[in-house]
Amino acid sequence: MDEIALIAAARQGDPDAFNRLVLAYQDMAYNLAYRMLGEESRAEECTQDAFFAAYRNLNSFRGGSFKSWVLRMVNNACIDELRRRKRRPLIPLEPLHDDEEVESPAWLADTGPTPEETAATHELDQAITHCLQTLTPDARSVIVLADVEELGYEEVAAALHTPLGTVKSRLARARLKMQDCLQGFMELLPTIERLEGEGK
Amino acid sequence: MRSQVNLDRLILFSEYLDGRLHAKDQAGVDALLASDTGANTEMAAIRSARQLLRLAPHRPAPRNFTLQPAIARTIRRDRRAIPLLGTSGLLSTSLALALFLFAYFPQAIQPEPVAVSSFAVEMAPAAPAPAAYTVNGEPIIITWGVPAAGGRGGGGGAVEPAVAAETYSLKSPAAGAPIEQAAPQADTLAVSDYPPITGSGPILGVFESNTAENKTARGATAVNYRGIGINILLLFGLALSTAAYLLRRRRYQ
Repeated sequence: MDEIALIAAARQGDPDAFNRLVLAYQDMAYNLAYRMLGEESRAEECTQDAFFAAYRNLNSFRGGSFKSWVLRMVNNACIDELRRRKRRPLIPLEPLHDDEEVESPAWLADTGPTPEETAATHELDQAITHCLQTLTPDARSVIVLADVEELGYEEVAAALHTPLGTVKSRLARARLKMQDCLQGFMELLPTIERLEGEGK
Repeated sequence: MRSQVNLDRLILFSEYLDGRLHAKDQAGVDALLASDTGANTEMAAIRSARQLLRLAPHRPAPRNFTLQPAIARTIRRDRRAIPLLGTSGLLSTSLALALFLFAYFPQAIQPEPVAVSSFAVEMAPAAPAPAAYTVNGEPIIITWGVPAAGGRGGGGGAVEPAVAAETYSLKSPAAGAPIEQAAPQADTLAVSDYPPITGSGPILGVFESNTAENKTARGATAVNYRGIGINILLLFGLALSTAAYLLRRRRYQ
């Protein structure tokens, strides 16, 4: 069954049809939520909320890319969560001193007995998660969708309900800022690239 | 140095890396990179950030986010109610606005003054009432029940009623009709002769008919600021809820 038929069936109240759509996009949705929030449990909650909202507002979907629409739900849920967090800040478990994080990322080190490559991947993952949190939520959404999820500019614009020009400028600025933050991890690049090459 | 970066150039480089430039623009960027080391550095920075982000490990969903049938049913019930709530919100706001205009700004809809108090008609000076309510040019004091004493208020507390009780018809006269006046009683009545007080407390020298009609008439002429305030608040609340609904709709489109 194609996507349009599934959406039509879900609109008629068929939860199985909607669940098939959920299964198709849940990884991408969760990944976006995780990159936006930097926390697994919150990302899980936001993804679930987003799918609830999607099902509830299915009649508002006016065609186009369902993927972009679902990702917008996730992004909205994450922005709401970030606003809530701003109102009621939580104390992080990790140290959050800017100079310490970039200059000596001791807290990023994986102390477990893992192979070098896995550790490098893990460190990169942590570094990216951390650096993404230094961006504004708007810039974060754009860069996650464009570079992590590898969506096209038009898809990003549709997912965020934002003009294309704004997407371009936000992306360019966010990339520059991310580069500044990730400078301490650039030495990981060759290892990761090698791993990626072997994986393909 | 970062703050001095040209945003247009940054966007151009970003698009270049994403392969979104036309061949001509792409050639222009290639030529710039070949000649300008600063541009080369900028490009390298953006490229490495982009590359690292694209190499970020993908996090798979830790569990399935599929909807349970019971939850789906609940959400579906809510979903059916949402358009209804939205429409009713719009309708009630419009209705409240119309009522507000009719109630408090009748002249905006109907320019002629229409609110004439029946109380004012009753007390109009054209009626021969003033003569009927005076005795020898002095205003009559009408006493209901026992004069103030023993904690009934009104001050004084005199045991003996000093004022002779005179009975008058309290019905307002019809226009042009003579006022019926009962003959004054010559004797002074003892306290025990007064009928017991029932209903309202003592009102001295004030004639006020509290019929529903009069209340309505007075309400039409007096400005009810409290009522206006409540209505404005109500209107504001309705408008807010409607706006929230419309914003919500826009968000999920």
